[in-house]
Amino acid sequence: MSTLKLTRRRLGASVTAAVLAAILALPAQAEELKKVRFAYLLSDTLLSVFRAKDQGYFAAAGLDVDLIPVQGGPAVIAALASGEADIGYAAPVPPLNARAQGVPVKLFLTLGHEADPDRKYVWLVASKASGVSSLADVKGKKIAINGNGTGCELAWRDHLAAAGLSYDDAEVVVLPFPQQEAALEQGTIDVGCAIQPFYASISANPEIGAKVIARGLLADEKEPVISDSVIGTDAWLSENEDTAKAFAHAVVKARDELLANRALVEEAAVTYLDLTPELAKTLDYSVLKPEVDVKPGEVQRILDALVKAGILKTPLKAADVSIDLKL
Amino acid sequence: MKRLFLHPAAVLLAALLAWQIVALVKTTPLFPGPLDVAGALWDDGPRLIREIGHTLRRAVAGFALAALTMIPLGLAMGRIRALGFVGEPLVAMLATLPPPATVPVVMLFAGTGDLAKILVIAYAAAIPLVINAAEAARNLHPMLGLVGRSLGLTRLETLRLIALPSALPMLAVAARMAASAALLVSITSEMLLSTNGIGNYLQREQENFRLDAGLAGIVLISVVGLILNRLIAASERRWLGWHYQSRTAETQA
Amino acid sequence: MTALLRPVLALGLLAALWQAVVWAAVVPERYFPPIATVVQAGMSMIARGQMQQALFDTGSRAILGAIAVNLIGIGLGLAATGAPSLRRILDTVAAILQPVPPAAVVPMAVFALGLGWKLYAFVVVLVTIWPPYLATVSALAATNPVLLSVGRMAGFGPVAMLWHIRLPAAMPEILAGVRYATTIALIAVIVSEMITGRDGIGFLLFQKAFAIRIPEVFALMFAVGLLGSAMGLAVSAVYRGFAGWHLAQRGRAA
Repeated sequence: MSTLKLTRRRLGASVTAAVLAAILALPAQAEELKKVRFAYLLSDTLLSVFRAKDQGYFAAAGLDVDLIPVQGGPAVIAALASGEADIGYAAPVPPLNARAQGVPVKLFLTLGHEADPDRKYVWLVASKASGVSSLADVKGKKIAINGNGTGCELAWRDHLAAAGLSYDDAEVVVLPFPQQEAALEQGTIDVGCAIQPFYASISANPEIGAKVIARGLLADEKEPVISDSVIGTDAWLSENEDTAKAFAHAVVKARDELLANRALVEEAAVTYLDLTPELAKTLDYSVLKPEVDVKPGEVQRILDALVKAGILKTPLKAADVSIDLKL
Repeated sequence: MKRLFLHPAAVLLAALLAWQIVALVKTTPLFPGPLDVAGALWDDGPRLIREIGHTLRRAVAGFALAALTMIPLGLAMGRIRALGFVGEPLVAMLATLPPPATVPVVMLFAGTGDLAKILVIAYAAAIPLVINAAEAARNLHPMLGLVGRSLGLTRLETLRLIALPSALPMLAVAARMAASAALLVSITSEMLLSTNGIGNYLQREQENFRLDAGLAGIVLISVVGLILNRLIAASERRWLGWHYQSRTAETQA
Repeated sequence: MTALLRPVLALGLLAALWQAVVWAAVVPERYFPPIATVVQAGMSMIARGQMQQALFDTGSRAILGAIAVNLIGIGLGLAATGAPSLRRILDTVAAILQPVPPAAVVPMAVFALGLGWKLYAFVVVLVTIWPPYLATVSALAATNPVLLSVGRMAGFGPVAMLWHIRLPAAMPEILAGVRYATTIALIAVIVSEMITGRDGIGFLLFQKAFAIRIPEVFALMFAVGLLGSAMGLAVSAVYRGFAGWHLAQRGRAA
């Protein structure tokens, strides 16, 4: 009986405290939070965004961010174009492709970069049984991409061109990331294109005997290259530059905390990506550059590579496809 | 006047006109009008024909595989009670699995080549065939069963000589459903693991935001589906003419 | 009672077949896990409340969609039977739209309809409306002439004829269309969720595959089968209800 009373008293106290807190917080709440609908493709670099929302950093910056998961970069663009979302997150290739087709979207933030020699997060990985040990061996072999017009297609085209081969020299199979490990092990493909956490799983599989034949979105990454993008429509960006900046600051705050504490990263990977704790241990969460604003030179490198690979038919200027927020 | 106004062709034309007007007002590449689609159809014509060839080849193979295995199985399920008792709920359970979700499983056993796709297509086409075959065989007129017995037919002969012909009208309905399912899934499977076919074309163009080309592909699919439907209806009239004749005779009586 | 026994038996058979394939070791266990592992994965999803939530989201979409679309389809079938010019138009539309796969339309439909309920409604209507419509039209056109003359002798007008004779006689065929439509409504919902969903079984199938949780992917597929069976049983119950009505109508007409 006494314990019950105690809990009741404690409950009463916490309710009072909550009410008090609410009253104290009232002046801040009186300002309406600005609604931002964020359509995203699930990725480990987004842990900072999830954390910023759950820790209330967006709210503190006056933003009410609504997270909308979609499957695939083109779907992110579709969500923006249909007015279903204000901003979105995808690999850089889909929005640049969309821009080339006249869809009015621009890159305004990037959460990750790639650079030589080992900050590279796309792996072209062969099975031991395939006998492939370098790009030159790919001729006539079965290679996988996760979809047409994706980062994988760009990576294959760029690396093969650098090795003096053409994309058409190999037999390309479209195979979603989750199916590639089994296909490699069973020999239905010779070389896969993997990102995390699939690469970790493939390289840990003794039956495959993984051999990395190339790494990175582009073969030449002496200068950093953006590996993802936060995008908005031209109309939204022209009216909401301050909102975009507030969003960026909140994300950077959460990201700095994650970078400082490995345990937080693994916890977040389990919570938000649904990874098993073991798989979360293999996650490489590190950034090349602390800044998140998009620099024209970094965008231009991808644009030029897309044109060279034949994915983009006409050259584009970085200034037309991205905004440097100069945070 | 009213006749002309309500003619399907007139309605179709009006719909196309309305679509073109909306497209002209919207002026975005994400809402192409019928003229854009026609343009894409013209530009990509030869490629589209080649791709749909791959799609149809696999659809036909999958359909044939399903028909050859599932019609006998369905008839047996309808005639042999124990088989039907467990078989039917099993089929009902498998029928609700979306074919795209089965692709990864099939891939484990059949790789990523033509065989995998043909198996997924056969799976989709099998469902209406096996269900209708079982239903038709079960609802076989009791008199026909007795005829079989008095003729001293074995179980297998009863299936082949009595159950199969009397199930044909219902199988025709199932075949039509199975054929459209085969085409549908042939395209879907190409969107998930493929190097060619109209599904691969659609996916490629959509991911490159060429919506006019995507719609051109869909128009082609519609036309092919329409032709396929007509072909099946014609062969039905030809092969099942006796059934409809007896029905008309009944009506006239 | 046997109505429930049979799916359970079928599920057991499926599990046994599954396990036999595992034992045959054609495929590494990692990709095709033993049935016990799949059950365990399903249980852990139930414990986390994930499974129930997904079943509820997908199930409610599919059930609401199936009910609405079946009613619309039958309604259109009735209207088309009354108005031949409407029937010609609808038949043309059906012939044009029927072969189009939802997976091909969804990515483009998103541009026009967004990601919300409008998209689901569009996809479900697009693929599900034709079976009940076509079944209704063809069944009403094929009423046994003997029954029609009975109706005429009883002095029935067109409405009474439809209600007391043609509709009851057409019911079995219409319900076969309804049953098929209900199955594909579930498939259409899951496919939409796989492509653009934010919750539901289709989305979870995608998310689990990307987290390399293979046993949970299979547990979800079994759950889809069970959900489909449950919906099938519901349609059968409706069917039995109508069959009773059918007999009663026949009795009254005779």
